[in-house]
Amino acid sequence: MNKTITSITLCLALLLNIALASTASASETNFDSNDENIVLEKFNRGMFQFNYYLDKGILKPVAKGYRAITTKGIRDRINSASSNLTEPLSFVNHLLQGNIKSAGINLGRFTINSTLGLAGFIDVAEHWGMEKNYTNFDRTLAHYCVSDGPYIVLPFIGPGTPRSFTGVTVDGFASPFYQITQNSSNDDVKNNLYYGVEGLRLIALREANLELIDDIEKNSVDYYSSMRSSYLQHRTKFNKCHNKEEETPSYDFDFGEED
Amino acid sequence: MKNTLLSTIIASLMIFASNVNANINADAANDFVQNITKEGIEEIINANAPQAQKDAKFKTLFNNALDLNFIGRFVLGRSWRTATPVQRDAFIKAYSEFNTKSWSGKFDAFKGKSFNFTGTTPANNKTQIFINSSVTMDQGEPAKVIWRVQEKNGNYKIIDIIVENVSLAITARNEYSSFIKNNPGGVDALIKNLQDKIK
Repeated sequence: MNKTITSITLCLALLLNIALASTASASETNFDSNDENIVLEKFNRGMFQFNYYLDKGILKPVAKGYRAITTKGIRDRINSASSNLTEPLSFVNHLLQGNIKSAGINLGRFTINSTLGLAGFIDVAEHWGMEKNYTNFDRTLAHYCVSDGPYIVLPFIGPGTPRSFTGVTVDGFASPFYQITQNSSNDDVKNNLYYGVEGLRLIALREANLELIDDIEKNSVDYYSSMRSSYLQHRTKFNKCHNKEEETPSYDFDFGEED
Repeated sequence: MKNTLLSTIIASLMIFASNVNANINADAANDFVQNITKEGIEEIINANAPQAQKDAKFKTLFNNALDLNFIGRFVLGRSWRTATPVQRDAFIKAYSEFNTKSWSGKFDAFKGKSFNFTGTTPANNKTQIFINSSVTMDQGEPAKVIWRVQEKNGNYKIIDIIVENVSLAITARNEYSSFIKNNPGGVDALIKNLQDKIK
């Protein structure tokens, strides 16, 4: 156990290092894979291909099977419960970002939905005017101006940046669901419950994006570059550094006629 | 007589030129986009009509609403300058048809939905403007959709659609330039690839 923690800490330190070191060369406003570091692009394209076949062979068929054996009503309830599990993390991260009001909403939503909403299967709080407001550690780092770093595709995990991977890792270990199940003396809770729920959440996420991903693939001439550009553009939505003035949005580029 | 005619032409050219540089009218641009989404959703997508009829109507609306010629030039990026007139024409044609087809395939996803318009944001280019809107999704938070509109000679056209910060124009431009760089067939191969997707 201690060994695992040490190696995770090392990985995190490494990732953060890349993130901080890349401040100068940050490609936050550059979504074109033609300007990507050539070695990194080669690695990323390879990993992208690997993940593509992994998804095609396992995750996508499972997500389709999940859709086949469930109704939309059931899937909505599962998605609702899955998102309820993220409320405590949003609460902590909103506090870290100094956003007390949003943190209060997360706390309210979690309390109401976990009890009256039957473990989050029903979003009662939303009907009471407490709308979903998700955040995570990645956005907390962005808030404190930690730069994003280059686009990296990791095997089994998928696309991200040093900052996003750091965020996901920290959130994963800090999650109360992880802490409670992993500290349980019951092996069923420790293994079956935790991995069962996390597995289901992954399948549900894939199911929700079946059409979107198929559509991007079908309409691309360069699937990798299309995904890379969309991913990085989408992230600019959350790259809001607290002590910097609001920058021109990335989509307000110079859109004139090419002659 | 000749002089009068000449000065009239010059005067109208000047008016024309000043129109080009004038700031875009935010309210008019906003109305333009609202009417298009309203027409698209209420009169085509939600309508009780045969699919073929709906497809034809959508195609007309789509082609009138978007300046595919302008967008096409932009998405080809640096290659536009080196492309031959024949390549340019073939690309614009393939790109327009490809977009019309791919959007026709997904317009049913907007059945029963409506766009909530939330105001406008000026663009750096004064003849252009961003029209902000959001649309409810089947699950999760509503999606933010921004329409980039350009005014040319009093005509309004959509030149970009930005969904959750992802600009369709910049994504296509990045993708096509990467394709052209990695493909020995260059622009011709890109045109061929798009044509295959239309079939």
